[in-house]
Amino acid sequence: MPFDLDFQQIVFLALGFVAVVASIMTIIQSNAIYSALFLAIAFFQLAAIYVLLGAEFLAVLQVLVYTGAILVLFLFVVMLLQLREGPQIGDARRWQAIIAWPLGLLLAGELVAIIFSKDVTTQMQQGITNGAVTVGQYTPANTVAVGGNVQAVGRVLYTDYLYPFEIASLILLIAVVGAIILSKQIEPEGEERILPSTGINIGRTGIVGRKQGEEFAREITPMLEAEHGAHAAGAEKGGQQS
Amino acid sequence: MLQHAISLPLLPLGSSNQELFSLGWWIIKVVIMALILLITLTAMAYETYFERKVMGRMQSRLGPNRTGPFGLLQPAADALKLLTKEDIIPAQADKWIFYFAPIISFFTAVTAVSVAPFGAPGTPLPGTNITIDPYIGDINVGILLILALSSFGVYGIIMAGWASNNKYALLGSLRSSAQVISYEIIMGISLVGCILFTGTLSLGGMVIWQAGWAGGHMWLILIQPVAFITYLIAGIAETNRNPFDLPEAEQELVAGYHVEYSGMRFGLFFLAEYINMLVVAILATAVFLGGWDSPLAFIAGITGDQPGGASFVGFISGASPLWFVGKMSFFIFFYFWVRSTLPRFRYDQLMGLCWKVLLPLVFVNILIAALLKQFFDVNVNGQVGWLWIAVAIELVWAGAVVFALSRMASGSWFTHSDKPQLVSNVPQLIPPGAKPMMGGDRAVRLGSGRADTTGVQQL
Repeated sequence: MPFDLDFQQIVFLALGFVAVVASIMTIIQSNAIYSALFLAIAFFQLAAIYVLLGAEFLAVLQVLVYTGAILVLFLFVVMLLQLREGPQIGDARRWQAIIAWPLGLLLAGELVAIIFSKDVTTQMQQGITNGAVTVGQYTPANTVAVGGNVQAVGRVLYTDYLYPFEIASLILLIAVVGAIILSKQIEPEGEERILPSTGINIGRTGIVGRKQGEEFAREITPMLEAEHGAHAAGAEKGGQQS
Repeated sequence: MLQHAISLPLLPLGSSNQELFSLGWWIIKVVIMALILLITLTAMAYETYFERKVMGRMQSRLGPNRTGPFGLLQPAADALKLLTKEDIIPAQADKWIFYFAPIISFFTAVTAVSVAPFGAPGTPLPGTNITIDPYIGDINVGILLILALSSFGVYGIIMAGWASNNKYALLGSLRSSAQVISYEIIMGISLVGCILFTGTLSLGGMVIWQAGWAGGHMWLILIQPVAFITYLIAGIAETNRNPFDLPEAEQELVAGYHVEYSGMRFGLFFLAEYINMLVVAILATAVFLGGWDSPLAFIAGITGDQPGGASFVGFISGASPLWFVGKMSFFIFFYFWVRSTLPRFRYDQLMGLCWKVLLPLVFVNILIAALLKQFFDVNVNGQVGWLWIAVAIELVWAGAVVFALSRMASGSWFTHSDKPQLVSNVPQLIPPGAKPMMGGDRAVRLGSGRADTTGVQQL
């Protein structure tokens, strides 16, 4: 055979091929919904590759977080905005293309450099620790030895990568607070708010809280009484006259 | 041993364990897969029958009783009807997405059943000396897989709603995706306390932790009662069932996201919804109610029978897949019970319940669970008695939560009521001696039951 591949490698190549095709389709589709759905396919292929590598936990999280939460929100927004036809390729400004090409090539070069640099391999050789004992490299067998996938990821997350983890969660918290502040609506002034028993519009009185409302009610009650009394008396008088 | 049984079926490729993947192993596995798929689909069909019968009885009706004895052939008749109906694709629909949407819904629902632990590993077949594992694959991230699949199921709904090119379908799918994403958070975080105590993400492993009731192990409904309540609420919302069935609210949206579907394409959505109910029931049974564990095991201890033995007492007190199915059926019944009891929520109430009530509740619950785990767990001090103190604390906390939720649901915190009342019943709002204007009483909504003039709206 020209290619000496075992079954696992064939599966990996198939998954990788679909992932690459789906990623390319994500970029070149003009329809935003199609784009998002192709991205979902790519995410799924990545999850399957994780399973192939013996990282089930990561695979499930990939589907749960990226496909199930983030991309659904993308779709949600796209559907709300009804973007059936997005911008076409070639619509971009010329300086964008001039800047984009070098930056994209730089990113690709960085990725390749990282993959082939020795830093990653030495870091991987430091490997999994079980308590104080270093078990070895990140292989499926060693992962099982420390208790499984979840345990291995959890241990690394709360020891070696504790600060990045905490900083990431802090940034997410700030994002949540920011989103709430941005989306909080300020009540427009002069809105119609009518006291039901009187028919008086208190919308322009500047009453905002409950306490102010109570004060207002207390102040206005005698006036209302007087008005009601006069009105009722007038109505009775009118009735008698006719 | 458990580790092998749990993690390897996901990794059949390049495995060195030849014995586990022998031909006999594959044959038994394939037969079990086919059986579980068959049983799931049959169970789904009879779920609809059961639902109509239960709701009929609750509403003083008979339910289906024409097709076959007691109407037992009704599901078959329904399936035939769906299969023979014309399959319509609207002219303006996006055909590919319209075509794939029901398939995705159905696929995610059925796949989730594959990690359901119906029985203990090595359950003997009755009458033979063959032992089988009555599940397809009890993988080591089973809970997360179910959550991931149910979140992926949203795609079916979104795609259906968008591709139909119909306002009602789009509104339904938007509602549904927002609802499912929101309640998924509650569902996942409810289960965190249970994962904390059992220390595993495998459903089979959780049941094994709970089974036996020895050494401080017990059903997690006792250790995590609040999580059980929030899980049930989130589970009902997650499957878009009453009282949270806003995505297909008939009065507002005709039929929601599947309004343009007909025939078996609609049937796939229908199947997916009922299988999702089964999955929620499976998760509740395995995580909170001890799965295949028998609640009657103490009887065998009294009479002296062997649990799981041949005698009747031994049979009912032993662990068996029948117990699992029984507990599951109870949850299915609970669904129908809730459906015929409660009216539908309004959309803002639904979202308010999720983000303002349940989310803080589950976070506080995790905090309490972590504290109890830290100070009362058997592993810490070796005393089983301490765990019962933890259980007592949890039950008191659950009682407080149920009380607060019920007061909130009835709209009355202690003496005041939030329900709309007649103006004449609210003395603060009537000037003394005044006659009602504009033709008599009108209902007003009271903010927190006080004389809150700003909260008063015209209804």
